[in-house]
Amino acid sequence: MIDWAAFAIVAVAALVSASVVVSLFAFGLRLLNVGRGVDADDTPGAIETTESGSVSVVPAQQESRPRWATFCAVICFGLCILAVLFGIYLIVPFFHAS
Amino acid sequence: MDLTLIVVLVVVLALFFDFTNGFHDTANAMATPIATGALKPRMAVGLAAVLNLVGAFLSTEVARTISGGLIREGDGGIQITPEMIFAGLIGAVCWNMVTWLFGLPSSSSHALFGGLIGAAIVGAGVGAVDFSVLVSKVVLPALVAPIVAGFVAFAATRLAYAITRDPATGRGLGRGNFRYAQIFSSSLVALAHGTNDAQKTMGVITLTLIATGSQAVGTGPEFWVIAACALAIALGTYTGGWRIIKTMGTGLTDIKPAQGFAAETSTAATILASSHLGFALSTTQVASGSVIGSGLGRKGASVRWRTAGRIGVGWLLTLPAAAAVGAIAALLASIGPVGIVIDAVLGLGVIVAIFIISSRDQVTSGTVVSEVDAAVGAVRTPKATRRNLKKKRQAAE
Repeated sequence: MIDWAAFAIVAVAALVSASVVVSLFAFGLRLLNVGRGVDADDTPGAIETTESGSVSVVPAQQESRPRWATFCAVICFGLCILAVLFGIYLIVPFFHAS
Repeated sequence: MDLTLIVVLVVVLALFFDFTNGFHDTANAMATPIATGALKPRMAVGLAAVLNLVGAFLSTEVARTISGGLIREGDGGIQITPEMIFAGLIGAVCWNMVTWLFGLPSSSSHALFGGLIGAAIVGAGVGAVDFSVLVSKVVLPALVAPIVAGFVAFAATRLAYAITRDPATGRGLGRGNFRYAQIFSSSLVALAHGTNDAQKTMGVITLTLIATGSQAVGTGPEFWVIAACALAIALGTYTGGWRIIKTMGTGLTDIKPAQGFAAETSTAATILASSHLGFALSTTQVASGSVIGSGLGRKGASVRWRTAGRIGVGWLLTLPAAAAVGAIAALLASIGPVGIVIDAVLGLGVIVAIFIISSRDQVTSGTVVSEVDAAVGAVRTPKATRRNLKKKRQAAE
């Protein structure tokens, strides 16, 4: 019949991996917002179009975000990129063919 | 190569099945990024098509395990004839067309298994089907897949919202940026789909070629088979099953970027875990479960259980319905060449009829974006004061 052990392993592996990746990206976003008000969650340098049609550039934050936060955010996003690469590694049989 | 009419018919029908498989499953990867606006509809289906095309060339490992032990073949078993495969494919294609008409995401693998099982029962008796394998490989995974994926997506969504919550105000911080991550998570799902699903058709065509003696026993799919299947699934994906995308993206629950990312990551994680740890799950059922799970995970979001129920009924019916059509087609085919021609004509009739019915209420790339987003675009936006901009951003999150 059904292999419950294999099923449990799949469920746990999926739960852990998905939670880790989503948490990493969420922490990255959260860290980028350290030292910024809720008001200012536009990306600095992003182009914004207002109702009247005028285009404005969101000003860069004036050193309100501490260096460590930026550093940790970059690490979080970097780990997410690694997770994507690992996913590709798992998908493409060529990389792990016996 | 000895090309008989039946072989040509099987190849053509198999490629059409591959095409329906493609447009049926575009939604698995691309429904959520389209719904949240992470990708424009056309862009999303184009990306999915390219990834499916690439994916189809990457692997032929499972192409020959198509029957998966469901049908007892070989010594002491039954002889699979091209006529049987033809009848099975008619069952699978017809059911895929019907579920597409109703916008139901249903497993193309189940339709294919069902069709082949029905044809095998008529052709060789009930003993041809191994029911214990059927339960452990098809029925139970179908129950388990959405539950596991739903639970994973629920947890992931909760985490995403908890981490990005501003402790001071309780509001979200930069949640709209989950859109960028969605592009990657959905692409992974599309690539994984390509490596899996095109192979089913390759397996069917190769099985037919081997059964008719056109190809040596024990060899893998030939290059033209791989290329044709890759193109058929990519074309199907690009055509985009907008009806199913609409159901998955906006019908089950209203999806925000954070939920979309959590759902797709859960889908990718569940599929990769299952395919590498030996417990194959259907992509469609995993993806649907993820969407429901992410709907349950966000406070204030509601899941439309009526739609979920309709999808569930569709899943229950997929195997028996495809089997019934496959069985009828196999009965007709047993008459002889005339029966096969009748089969082909009837099958074509059903396909054309469904296309005609579907054209009455067309669902296109323009109608799949969340109604809220569409309304935002249609209604004249209020003056862009700082306060209004803030409101708009919060709505987007």
